[in-house]
Amino acid sequence: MSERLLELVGVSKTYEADASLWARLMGAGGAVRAVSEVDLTVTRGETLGLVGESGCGKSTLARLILKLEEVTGGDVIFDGRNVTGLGPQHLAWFRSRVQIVFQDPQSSLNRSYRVETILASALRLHRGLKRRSDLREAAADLLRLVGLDPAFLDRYPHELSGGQRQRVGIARALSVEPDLLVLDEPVSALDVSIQAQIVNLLHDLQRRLGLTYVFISHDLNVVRYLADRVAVMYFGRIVETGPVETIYRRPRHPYTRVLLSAVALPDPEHELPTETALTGEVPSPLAPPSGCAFHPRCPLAQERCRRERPELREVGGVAVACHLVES
Amino acid sequence: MSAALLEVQDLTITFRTDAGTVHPAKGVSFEVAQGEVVGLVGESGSGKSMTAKAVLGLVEPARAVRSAHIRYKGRDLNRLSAAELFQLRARDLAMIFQDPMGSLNPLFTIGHQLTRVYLQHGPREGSARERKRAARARAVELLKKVRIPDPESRLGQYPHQFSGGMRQRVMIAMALMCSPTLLVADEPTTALDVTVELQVVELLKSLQAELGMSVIFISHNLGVVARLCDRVMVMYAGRIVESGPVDRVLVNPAHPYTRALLASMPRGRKDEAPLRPIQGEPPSLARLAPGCPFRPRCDLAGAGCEVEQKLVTVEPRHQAACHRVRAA
Amino acid sequence: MSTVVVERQSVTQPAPKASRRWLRQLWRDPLALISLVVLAVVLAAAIAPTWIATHSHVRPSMERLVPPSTERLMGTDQFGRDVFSRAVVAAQVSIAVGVITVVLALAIGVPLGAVAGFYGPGPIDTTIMRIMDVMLAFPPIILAIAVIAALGTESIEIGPFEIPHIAKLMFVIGLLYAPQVARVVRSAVLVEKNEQYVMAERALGASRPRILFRDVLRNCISPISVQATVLVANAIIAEASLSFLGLGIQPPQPSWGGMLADAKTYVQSGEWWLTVFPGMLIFVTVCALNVLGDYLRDVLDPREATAGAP
Repeated sequence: MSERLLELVGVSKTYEADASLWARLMGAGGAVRAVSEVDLTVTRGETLGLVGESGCGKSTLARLILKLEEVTGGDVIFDGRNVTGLGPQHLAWFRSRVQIVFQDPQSSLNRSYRVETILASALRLHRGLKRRSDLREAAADLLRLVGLDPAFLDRYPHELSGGQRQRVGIARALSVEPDLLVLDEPVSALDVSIQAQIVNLLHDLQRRLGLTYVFISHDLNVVRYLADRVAVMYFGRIVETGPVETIYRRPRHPYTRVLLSAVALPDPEHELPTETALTGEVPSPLAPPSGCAFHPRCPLAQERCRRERPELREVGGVAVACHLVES
Repeated sequence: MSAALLEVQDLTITFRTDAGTVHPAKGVSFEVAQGEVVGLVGESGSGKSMTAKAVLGLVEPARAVRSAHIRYKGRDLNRLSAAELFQLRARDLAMIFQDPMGSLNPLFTIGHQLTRVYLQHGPREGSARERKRAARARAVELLKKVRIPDPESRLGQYPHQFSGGMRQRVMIAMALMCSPTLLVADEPTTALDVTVELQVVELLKSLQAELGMSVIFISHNLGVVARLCDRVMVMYAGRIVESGPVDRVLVNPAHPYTRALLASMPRGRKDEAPLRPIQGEPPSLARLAPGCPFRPRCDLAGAGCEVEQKLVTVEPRHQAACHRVRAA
Repeated sequence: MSTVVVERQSVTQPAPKASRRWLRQLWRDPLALISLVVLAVVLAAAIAPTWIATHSHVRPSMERLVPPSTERLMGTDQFGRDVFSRAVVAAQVSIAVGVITVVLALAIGVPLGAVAGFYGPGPIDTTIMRIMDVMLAFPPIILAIAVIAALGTESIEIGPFEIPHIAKLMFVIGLLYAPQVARVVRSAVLVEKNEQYVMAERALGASRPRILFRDVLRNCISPISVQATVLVANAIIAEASLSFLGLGIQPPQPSWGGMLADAKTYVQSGEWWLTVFPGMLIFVTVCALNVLGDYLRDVLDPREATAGAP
């Protein structure tokens, strides 16, 4: 047992942009770095929020943590064990300890199967249950755990509402009794009133089952609500990370500041934030900017930002990758 | 504020489906004043989009829409001929949609698509060549307005050469080609990233101030509505359940649904401000119980709620459709 | 610690029966209903021709070239054989060739297409699909003619087995249709493998072949059945064409194509029943199969079932 449940050490993922023979002959194509040298530590029982916009690499990072894709650099260490080159005999062990919940509950459940079959598949693989009645009983328990009536066992996914489907998705992830749950935008596709139900459910499950969460979202309000620590990603790198309240009270990286102001809720007690809107959009991964990846959009960018990529450094309890932040 | 630009009275939309007869909008009445920005908020299936489309005559089949009156600049749309309606929609009304890729034809250049609208519905004077030149000038002017850099060369490009946020700006430019007096924006920022969403909202805000048009802004995002809108209408199960100035509705919500919606949004840490979700699911329009549609999920529901309440005035310009409004 | 409300969500209404939806859909689509009736009749004829046939289909009689009557429903041919009874028995051949060739085409095409789609893009996908493309480049009927011309129309012996000509026919047509199946399956799998449940199953530790054959293929049943139905129709036409050319079913065994070939000399002499009835049977059966394919496309996707509120 290690207190550090998950450690990412210099994790990178590079894709060949166009690996066809023709492209290689023509010298076209090239590598796209989706994730670059990410260091992260997740402590047992905590929730790490991972925020960023689409294309920032947060979903790729999720797949790397789950070993659904292999890293091209660095190491993933789970519970003190390097799982980067894990052989098939130990993979089952890993699979039963780390699970994932997806964003789109429509696509994440196989539409051809009843809820019972969807849940039973995992139960059979990991808990070694064989008898139909045992499987059904275990599946019913899973549904109760996520606040659904066991009568839903006989339903098909299309007969469920979005919120109910997401509960089934969570039940499936819990079927192997994991330690770490990676939640990839689990509430983004849901209506506001349903989001709150699922967020509360996740919070409740964490308390009851002692789960550790990596919670990926672009919704900073939800992340603030659930997470203990937060890591902000931009263009494949972590630009700021630290305790959630410290960062929300005083965001240091210019990108974090804009992100926070963009999602501010109507709030009677506070004025709407006055941070100006960013110009431009996330750069193309085929033509990465020099120096700090954020400099083309940064309102504060200086000459140094164009030349030199800032490293993450400790500033007042958080780590920030920006030249302009004073120590 | 001046007289109403658009008046909708008792709009009802009826569809027959396998599950029964449904009303995506039922007895919806509202006004939009000249130069006003109205937010129409609600969850999926609340009928917000359908209501706006019905106003523009975009709901098919047309017979599904039944409304006593839709008046535009005092003219009753029911009384206009088909040709007049077409003219009105093409010139005075404009709409932008959630998905900018689906709304642009991938086979034509941006310039072609922008100028075509103008050539068809814009001013008619001058030779064909002069009109073409005018249309091009207008397209460049509007691309500049929506802050697309280097608009002249951008005109010759195709939609796929633009990023998501850029495409939405092009859509806005296209909607503005004929200087509409009313712009309906159906979740125009939902598909965009938060920082890009902020840009587009700020853009819409400044364009509206500059051009003085009225805007109906459909969204499920109360934060965005608060930034942009003067007035907000909250829809639930095809009805407007609350309507009023944004700062009043969001600060002092009167309808239990609006209140519950605001309470179900996270605004702090879990141990400081626990979320109070709305119980149950949004209702299926095909199986709506009689009475107040929010009754099954409402904490305050009780005697009297079996009868549906019309909008009642809570404070000046602020109405809510609830029996408990005064008590609460 | 805050109190968290997790209320139990209960089922509000009973699950609708899928069979009822099929029936309701069928009732709304009269063309599909008619097609289904037609196919049921043809199938009945194929399964139990002796119950339906009124006369012997091979024994000649003295009543030659008799026009249709209540006694001879479709008249008789130049040897005095009953056309109706021959057509009924020929239905068996046509349906058997249609169904068995398509089963064969599926047996070859589905795994190839599935593997190509699921493990592609890459050398496996490229190899499989280029071979399929080469086969698709030939018009299947011409290729079938060439193959059968080379193999002959007699039964052949391979080792201890005697392969009847009809089996050769089925094998050739089935093989030629496999690429069409493979292409449809591959494109369906390509779409399906990007669904998130595939990722979820992998995260749970299911092996790739298991995900492909248990989860992904199951969701491709809809396009596969549509394609299979249409291919049955095509195979029936192929068999009829080959028989018409004398390369298919050999006389005296009746087949619709063979009957047409025998009757071709009578087209201009006024014995219309000899050509019209077998021709009609081919036409109606093939049409019905195509309509059924469309109906299956509408009804097979479970997502279509929620035709609720907009």
